[in-house]
Amino acid sequence: MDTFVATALVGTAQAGMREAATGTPVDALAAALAAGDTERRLLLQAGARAVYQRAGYMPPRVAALPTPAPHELLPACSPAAALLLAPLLAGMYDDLLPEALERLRQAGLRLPYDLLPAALGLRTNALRALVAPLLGERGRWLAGFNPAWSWVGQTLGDMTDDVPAVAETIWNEGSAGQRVAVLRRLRAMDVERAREWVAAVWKSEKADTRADMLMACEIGLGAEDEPLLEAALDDRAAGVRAAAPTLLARLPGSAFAGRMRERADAMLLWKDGKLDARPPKALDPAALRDGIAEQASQAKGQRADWLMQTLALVPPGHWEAHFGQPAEALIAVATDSDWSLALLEGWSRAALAFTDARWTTALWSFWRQWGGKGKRGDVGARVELLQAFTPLVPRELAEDFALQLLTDPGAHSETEAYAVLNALPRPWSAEFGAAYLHELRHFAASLDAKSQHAEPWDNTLAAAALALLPDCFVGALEPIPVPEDNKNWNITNFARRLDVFAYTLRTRARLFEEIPV
Amino acid sequence: MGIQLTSDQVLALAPDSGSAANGKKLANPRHWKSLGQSEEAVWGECQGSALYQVQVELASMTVKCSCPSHKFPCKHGLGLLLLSVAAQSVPAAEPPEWVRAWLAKRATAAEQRATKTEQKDAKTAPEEAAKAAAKRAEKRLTLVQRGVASLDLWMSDLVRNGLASVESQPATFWERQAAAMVDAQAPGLAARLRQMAGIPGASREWPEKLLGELGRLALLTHSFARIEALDAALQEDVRQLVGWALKEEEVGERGEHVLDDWLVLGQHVVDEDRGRTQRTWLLGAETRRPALLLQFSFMGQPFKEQLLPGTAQRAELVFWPGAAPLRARFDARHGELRPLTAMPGADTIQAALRTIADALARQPWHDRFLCVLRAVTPVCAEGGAAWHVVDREGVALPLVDDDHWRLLTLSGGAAVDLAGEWNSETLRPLGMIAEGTYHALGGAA
Repeated sequence: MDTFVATALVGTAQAGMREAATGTPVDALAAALAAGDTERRLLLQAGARAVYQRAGYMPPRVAALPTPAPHELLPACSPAAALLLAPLLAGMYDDLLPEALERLRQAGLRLPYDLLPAALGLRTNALRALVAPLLGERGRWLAGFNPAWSWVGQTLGDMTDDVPAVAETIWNEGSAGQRVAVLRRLRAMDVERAREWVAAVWKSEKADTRADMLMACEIGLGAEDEPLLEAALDDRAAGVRAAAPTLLARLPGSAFAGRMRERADAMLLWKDGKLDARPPKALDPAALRDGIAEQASQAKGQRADWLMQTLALVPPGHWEAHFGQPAEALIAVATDSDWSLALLEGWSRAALAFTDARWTTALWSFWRQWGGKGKRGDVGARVELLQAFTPLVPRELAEDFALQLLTDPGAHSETEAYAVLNALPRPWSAEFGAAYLHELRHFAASLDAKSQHAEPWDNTLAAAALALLPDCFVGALEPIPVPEDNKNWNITNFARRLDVFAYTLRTRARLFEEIPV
Repeated sequence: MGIQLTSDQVLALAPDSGSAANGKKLANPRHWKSLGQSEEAVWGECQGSALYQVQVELASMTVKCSCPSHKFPCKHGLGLLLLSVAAQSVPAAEPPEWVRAWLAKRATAAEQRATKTEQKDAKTAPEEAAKAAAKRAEKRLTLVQRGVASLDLWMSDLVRNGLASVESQPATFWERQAAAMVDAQAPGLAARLRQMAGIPGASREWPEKLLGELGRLALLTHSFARIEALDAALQEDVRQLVGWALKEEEVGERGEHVLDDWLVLGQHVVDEDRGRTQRTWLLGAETRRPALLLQFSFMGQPFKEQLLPGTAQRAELVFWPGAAPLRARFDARHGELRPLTAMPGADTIQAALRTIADALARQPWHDRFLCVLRAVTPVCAEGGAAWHVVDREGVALPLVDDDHWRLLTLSGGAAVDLAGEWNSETLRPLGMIAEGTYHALGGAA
């Protein structure tokens, strides 16, 4: 701060009577002022100096210019498509965003420059993965200027046969999430090298990262992974220990798979066309080491839980060979057993873990028909298993069941209907879409001003708006009349959700139109 | 034919995103009857809850619709405009009676405005009225002079006791003095005092900034005290700055009228206590004169006149009188709106700064200037914390503390033509041309 400003800051009373000088040609002007009080003179001098400085602004020099962005390789989407995408990228109706971004990628287009800052600002890894191929040269160039956008440089381009040089950099320098992502990619391409990478760093990694690296073994899983997985059973971190058993069980020749088969064989016996289960009364240390959890789920009982956990780690095909009976017959017999629910849940988890299509469909049929005469924990397990099975069973069967759950509300809980509906593969088949819309209209027509609820249909609209095929749009956008009553919240809420449903469908229709694939 | 705007520019007129979306839905000929356009206007009838008559006068983009919506422009107006920017959607035709009537009414109203002054003078000519007016003016002058004298004392006291003491003063310290200036009928001085309230403590250099502002205020009161000694043009400035607002017709009579191709280069909206102020910067293509159009909106009302950044139009502007006139308003808009494809500007930053220095030499109280720069490269440093534009000589201007990612991405590291608002410290980018296309920057805050 110069002495002129300092004088004003402390005050002329303190600074004494000496003349303040700005050290600029302005002082000559001040000299021309008629003699007046010091304060007024200082103010006028300050005013002249301020104007002098404004008029004589000295611009800085900047030497370093950015390297220009490279030429684009992809064309940009249309301005009309950009107008549709802008609010989605800004976070409005962003459940439409994944589909729109995926369509752009399929169409071989990139985002226009205007939308790049919003696209680079996306937060979730899932959306970032979708948007990365659409950034174009300009987007990757732009990301280099903002540390918050460094994720772009650490996202791999399209999957290719060889590992790009940047992969190794990411593995050495990236965040935990990026490193695991790159490891998973490498396991798909060069599993030997991926194992070397992990072996080199295993001991120095944090527990969470070790667990994630172990889970990556599910890609390209092979006998060579057994030593690491077997050792992980003794890891000091519970998360790492928990990740190993499922993977070891999937290696048919592993020592672990053998131990588990032996344990299961001892628990399950075939006697006179019936299944007899003999779960142990106490867990031995070896079973604990192999990941059978001590704590019993309260609803099920400890021994039933051990039985279930053990069966879940044995390939279901083993039992067909072991007892010489087909899956369907074994399941039918199991339903009569004293331990039926533990048996069926164990097998179900095994069918999911070992992706056995025959067992999956057979067990799905069982759970679909099961009346729910079990304990609360079993009912919860049923919903969870149905949800897990839904995308795996033949599509017509799953869609048929979903429709049954929606139209026969008395028979099942609504939770179950939503769970199954949300688990259906998307987009829904045209047949199911049409049937859904037919039943929706039927339901809306059944409402009157006194209706007490609009469940389960009101809660399915958001999913339907995203899952219907374009073939169904015209039918879906035909107005769906509801009773006009401003006082019944159930009806107004349903009507409002129908509006959002229609808006979402119209936006999707325009996205399909503006981004032709 | 058809309006030479892009749909983006039309959508920028929408009062909110809902209106924009609804307007887009109506931009389909199947919603419309008796669509047509002429040199002057475009019109159509839109089937809503009733059949609405929608019309747009093209020279001023004034929309009129018979619907009851309080949104302005309404969705029907936006739909009609969107239709007419799409080539060949609206056929050329003779305006029907309801359109002719409206256009005629607007023309008459404009004439009336022009002759209002004369009529008023004619009506109230009697000497008594003139005498009463002179007496009122004299009374106000005395009030202002007294106020200015007390303000001068107050400022001198501040400097005597030291500016260091004001950092701990509450906002009422400034507000009380500002209120006194309002009472003294010097609202211009009051506004300057209110601006100063935000300076202490706001930056490291606040003492220097505050001293500069107090100094410029002292220069103003000094000039006011000896106003007869000043040029006639500068007298106008001083009176306006102290707080004598000019009536519309006074601006029309005393201000300079400039016919030119006026380019709307950019816009900045500032939220204030009870409303919003919109600053729109124009540049004359032939005269190279900058013009600032100020619009005020209270309680969320829309701005009355539509000013579309990125357009150009043959028009007559009238400037508020002064030594370096900047503030202006439209007097007559002649031609159609055309999209802006190029901006004439300074080739170097030094040249732009020289022009600004010239204006400051003539009128030292201007706070903001239009700065149009050709071929400058946006430069981002420190991960987005420091921004500049750099000209071909390596000379730079710092950009206002904000996020300029759009400017950077649109430039792609190449030189662009940029229009901005310079406040002697930082440049606020308002519009740019990249590859022949105008892009608005900043805008609604």
